[in-house]
Amino acid sequence: MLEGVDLVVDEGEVVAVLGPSGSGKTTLLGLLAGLDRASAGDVSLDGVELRGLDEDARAALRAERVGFVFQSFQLISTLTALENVLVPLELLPGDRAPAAAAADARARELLARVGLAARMDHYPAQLSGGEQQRVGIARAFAPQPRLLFADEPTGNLDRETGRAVADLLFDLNREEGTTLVIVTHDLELARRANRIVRLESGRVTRIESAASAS
Amino acid sequence: MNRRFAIAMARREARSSRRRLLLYGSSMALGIAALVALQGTRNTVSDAVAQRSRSLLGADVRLESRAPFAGEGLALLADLESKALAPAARVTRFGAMLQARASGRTRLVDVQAVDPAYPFYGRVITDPPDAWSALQGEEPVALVDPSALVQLDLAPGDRLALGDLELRLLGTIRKTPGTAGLRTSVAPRVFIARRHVAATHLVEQGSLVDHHAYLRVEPEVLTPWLEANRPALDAAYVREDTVAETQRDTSRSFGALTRYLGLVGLTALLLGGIGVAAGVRVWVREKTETVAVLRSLGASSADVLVTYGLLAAGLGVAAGSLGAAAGTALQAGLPRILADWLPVDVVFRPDPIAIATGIGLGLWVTALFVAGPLYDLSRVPPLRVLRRDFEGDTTPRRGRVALVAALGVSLLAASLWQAPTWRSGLAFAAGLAGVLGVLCATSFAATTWLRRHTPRGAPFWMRQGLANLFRPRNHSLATILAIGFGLHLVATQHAVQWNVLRQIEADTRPDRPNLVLFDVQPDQKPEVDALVVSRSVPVIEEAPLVSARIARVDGRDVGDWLRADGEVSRDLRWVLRREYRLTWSATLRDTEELIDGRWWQESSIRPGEPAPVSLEEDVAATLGIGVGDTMVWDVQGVAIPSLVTSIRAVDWGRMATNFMVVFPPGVLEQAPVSHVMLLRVADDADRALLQRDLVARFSNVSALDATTILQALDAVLAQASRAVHVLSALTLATGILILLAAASASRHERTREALLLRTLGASGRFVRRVVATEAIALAAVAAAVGSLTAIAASAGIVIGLFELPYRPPWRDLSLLTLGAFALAALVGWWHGRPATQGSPLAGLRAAEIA
Repeated sequence: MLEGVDLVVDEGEVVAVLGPSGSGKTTLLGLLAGLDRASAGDVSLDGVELRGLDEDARAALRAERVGFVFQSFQLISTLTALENVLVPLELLPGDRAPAAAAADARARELLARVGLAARMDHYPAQLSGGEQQRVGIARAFAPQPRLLFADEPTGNLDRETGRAVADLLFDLNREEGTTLVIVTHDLELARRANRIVRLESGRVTRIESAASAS
Repeated sequence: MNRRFAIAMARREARSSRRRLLLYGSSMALGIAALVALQGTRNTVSDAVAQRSRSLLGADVRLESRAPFAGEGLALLADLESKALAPAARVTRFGAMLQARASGRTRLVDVQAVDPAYPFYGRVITDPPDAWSALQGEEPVALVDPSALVQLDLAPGDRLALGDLELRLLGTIRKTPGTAGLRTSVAPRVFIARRHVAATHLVEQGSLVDHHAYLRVEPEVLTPWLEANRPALDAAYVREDTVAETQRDTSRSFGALTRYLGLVGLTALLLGGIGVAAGVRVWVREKTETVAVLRSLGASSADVLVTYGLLAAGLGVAAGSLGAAAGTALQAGLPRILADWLPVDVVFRPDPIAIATGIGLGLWVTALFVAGPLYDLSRVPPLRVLRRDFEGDTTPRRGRVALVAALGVSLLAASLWQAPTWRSGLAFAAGLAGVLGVLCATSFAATTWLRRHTPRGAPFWMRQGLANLFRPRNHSLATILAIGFGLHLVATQHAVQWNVLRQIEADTRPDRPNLVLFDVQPDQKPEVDALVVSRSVPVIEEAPLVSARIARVDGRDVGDWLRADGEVSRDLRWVLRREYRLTWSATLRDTEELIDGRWWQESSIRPGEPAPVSLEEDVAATLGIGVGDTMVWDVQGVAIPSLVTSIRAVDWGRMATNFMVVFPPGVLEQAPVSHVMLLRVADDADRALLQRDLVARFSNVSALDATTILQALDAVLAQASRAVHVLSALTLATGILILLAAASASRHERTREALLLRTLGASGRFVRRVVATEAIALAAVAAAVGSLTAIAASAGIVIGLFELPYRPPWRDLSLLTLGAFALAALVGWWHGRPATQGSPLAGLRAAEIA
């Protein structure tokens, strides 16, 4: 349950939503990404008001403009790493969809970029947690989304792997110029954002610049 | 909808799910195979019948008369003969006793005395091959059905006696135009030349003889002649059979047989559909997380629906194609199984319509059973990627009702399509729906009972195993349906057959007659009585017989009635034209029950008034008359007016002297009469001896041995059950496939749980016990449900349909139940095995990749 949340994320900005378990971080992410409907209030995504959109219209909006990185990776277990990255490219609307060869090249390039050139044909179960999350990052960036939502992207990884994955996420974000919203309870990760939104019991308790966060 | 994504995704999903989906599909394939094989055979036979229609009859038209062609009948025959391409070929047909001189054995046979020109079309195949033409030589010779060789201990060249005629056996008849093998089972056929009939002295006044005239007539001449002369033929009691009628009747009767068998195939298909639904439901559940990811990445519900719809369509086409291929292979072998019913020789050829129907059925049944789960899949909310416990909309109530209605309508349509009559189609669909409903309800009740009554003091492994029956993602319903329904079908069929045969065998008990003597003439009666008494043979029943026809009903002339256009149904025509065997009796027999009117007293007959008469209920219903209506009987030229005073229900199933029409004593005694006697001769040798002596002294008297009827019935039932067994085996195999599919669908989950238990410290022995408990409990419930519903269904059929007393065949049912139980337990155990072996960690990893 969220209450009184008033938040604007600017284009190209990196915002971290920080809070303990049960504070409403994931609920906020779901609402911002159009995965969930707000019972009251408005959510606007890249200038599009979500309230009037049905489930499929919101799906079309996500396909075109939104990428996701999940805590539990959420790779499709029956697809190889390469195929997982291809999925969002194939879901792009007709005018933006690359040709099959171009999509394949883009997916391969991204997997190479995240260091998995040699593991493209492996299934998720054959990859380590860190490798799976790298596939998740490559998949998120594949359709060149305008917005990227990351839900505890390092939450399921050990500290060292988590740091490497976060580096990759921020590096790619910089290269692609994507607006990034990270939900985390890890202050160290949150500090790498431009702003930190602190959430407790469904309310925004503070919005601060990352540099000043403690 | 993003077509490119849907196709690419469906292709990728097919790669990982191919084997599982094929396993589900194969459970449907066997039912499709049965239907394709039967439809293919039906079409092939129908085509063959159409191509060889004239050889089915052996002529273009056959005229039949109970009396020798004379008067108006002969004039009509002569008129048609004058328009024919050749003189008529006559066949005289009658029942008589054939005696083998060497062994002394006798047997009631169906004598067919033929003219040289018979048949005009088609060939009679004999052994030796040239024997048919030799039949017409100077010496009296005979050809017999192969069964007569065994029954009379005969060999070609042996001497035979038929009445007063001595014959030499030439050989056997292998095939005659349009005759199915089973027709000859009770009374084997004996062919002789017609010119020798007189020498038998068996065809006398009052003998039961059919006179046939076969003619070759151009269709353009025949059709108008028949149209113009049909009333005259009816009036002369001459029946006509044309090529078109024979073709239609032949195709219809074979079609009816294959359609009845098709119902078994339809059952297997329905069972397969349930298997597909059970398997796909688990598969869809496993795909929920994948779909949630796809939805979060921007896939619309239409994208999901098309992606997985394509997979389902692939499953349907694969199952249909597999079934069509297996059915076509089965079609090649079916003529051998149905050999005795095939009216014509058929050459195997794949039937494109049957194959297309098979593939169409695969698609349709898949669509029906998969639509609900697919719809649910397309409604998976994207929020599930963040919250696993979030449930979206499932199929709305209206949608579920529509799906169930579509399923019901499809079942009904398929039953009506397959069943020979709409009534049997309706009954079949209702019965099937009822059985499935009972199985589902029983499954639910049994698992609910187990949940509430799991013994608290039982060891943990037992409680764990029993709990698996009702925990989420259990396969209890699928297993109970698969094994329960398969067992139900096989056990019901067996119990019905066992009870019917038991009843027939009951007729061979010491107090039941086992030898029937026909055509005992009044002057022979005292001598036959004396002979029977001298052998200490009890006469169980006897009755006088008088041949007669109906002349008028309630003042209406039967000839006029028959001539009335468009009013006379097939049944009524038969009832009006047939020759009746009347009898008289002062009392009701124990196979008869008075259902309307009153039985007569001695004072019932008053001179000058119509005689009282009692009618059998079906005859009265067909004629549309009841108590108080009048009838005039033509008793061999003498008119006997009568008044219907009672209606009787007759148990035709018992070996007894049963009659459609009964008069009181004092009405028919002066008419030409013969007697029928029912005897009991316990010893087989004594019975054979009595028959031999009877034939030697009274050549016109026919004796029918009840054991030969029993043997013939046994043969017919054996033939029928062979075909049903093949199809039941398909159903059972379908059940096993569903069992495998259901077990494999939940194996992933169960294996994970078992491995987790092992990781937590449970021993391999503990897990084995859990797996065994679940397998045994489920198998026990399924077997119990299947056998109990089979007892109820078979009792319903035996008591309700056959009107026979019912007793469950406990021994056979126990064996079948045990077999089904063992099978289900074995499959359950086999599928639980991986969880009990190897290291838990390796197992968990393997389960993750699978």
